[in-house]
Amino acid sequence: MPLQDLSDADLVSLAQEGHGEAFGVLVTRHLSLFHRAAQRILGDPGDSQDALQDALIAMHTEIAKFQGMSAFSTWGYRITVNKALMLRRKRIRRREDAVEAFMPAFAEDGHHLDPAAILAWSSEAEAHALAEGRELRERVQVALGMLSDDQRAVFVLKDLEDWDTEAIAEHLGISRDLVRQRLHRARLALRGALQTFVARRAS
Amino acid sequence: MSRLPTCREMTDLFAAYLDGALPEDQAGVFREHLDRCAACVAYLESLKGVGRLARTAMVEDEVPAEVQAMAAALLARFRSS
Repeated sequence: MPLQDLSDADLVSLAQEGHGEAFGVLVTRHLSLFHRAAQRILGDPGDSQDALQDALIAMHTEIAKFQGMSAFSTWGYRITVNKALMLRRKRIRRREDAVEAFMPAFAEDGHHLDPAAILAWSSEAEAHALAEGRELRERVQVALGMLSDDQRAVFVLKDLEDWDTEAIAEHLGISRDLVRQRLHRARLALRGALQTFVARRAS
Repeated sequence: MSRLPTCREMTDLFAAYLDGALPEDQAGVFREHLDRCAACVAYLESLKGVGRLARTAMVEDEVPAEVQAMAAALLARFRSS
C-alpha cells in the first residue's frame, strides 16, 4: 500500500521505527494546519517560517517519544504553537499597542457617547462584511498589526484557535485575569478598527 | 454593587462575562443593565463578531511556496540522516 493511503496512526508507527519517508508524508499532510498556527501568532511570514522549521525539527526529534494519546495533528499543532510563542518571546522588539483611537467613547455619566454608531454593527452588516473576503482579510490584518505582541497572542489563541483561558494563562505564564484584560483590549481595538468597514454595510 | 453599572463599567466586565467568570452578584446586575440597554447588547454582540470576522479572514488557503520548499528540504535531510 502506498504511504499516502496509510492512516496517521500507521505512519506514526513507521516514523517511530525510523522510516523517514513516512514521517515526511505525515508532516506534509498537516503542514497547512501547522503553518497557519504559526502565521496567526507571529504575523510576519519570515518569523512564521522560522517557527515552523523549529517545530518540524522538534517533531522529528520527539516522534519516538510520542505516545499517541492525542492525534498526531494535535500533537504537532501544540509543538508549533509552543515554538511560535517561544520565538515571539525571543524577539527583542517589544511594541506598545497603537489602538487608543479605537477605544470606545463614553459620556461623563459613563453612558455610551454614540449609541447609533454601536447599533450600526448589526448581524446583517456583519454578514455583508464577511462576504467581502479579500478586503475583510486586509482590514483584519492591518488591525491585528496594531496590537501589541502580547495582545495578539492572547486574541489569536482565544478567539481564533479557541483555547480556554486557563490553557492560555498556563502557556503564556500569566494570570487568567491578565489574559482577559489583554483579550478585552484586543477585542475593543479590533472592533473599533473594523467599525466603519462593517457599519457601512448596514443598509 | 446595588446600583446598576454604567455602560463604561459594563464594558470593563465584558471579557469576564463572556468567559463565564463574573461572580454571581456582578453577573446579576450585568444582566439587568443588558435588559435595559440596547447599545450594550449590540456592543457585546459585536465583540463576539470580531472573533467571527477574524476567524473567517485569517483562513489561509495555501502554504506559501517558500515554506513548502523549506519543509521539503528539511524532510529530505531527515530521510538521509
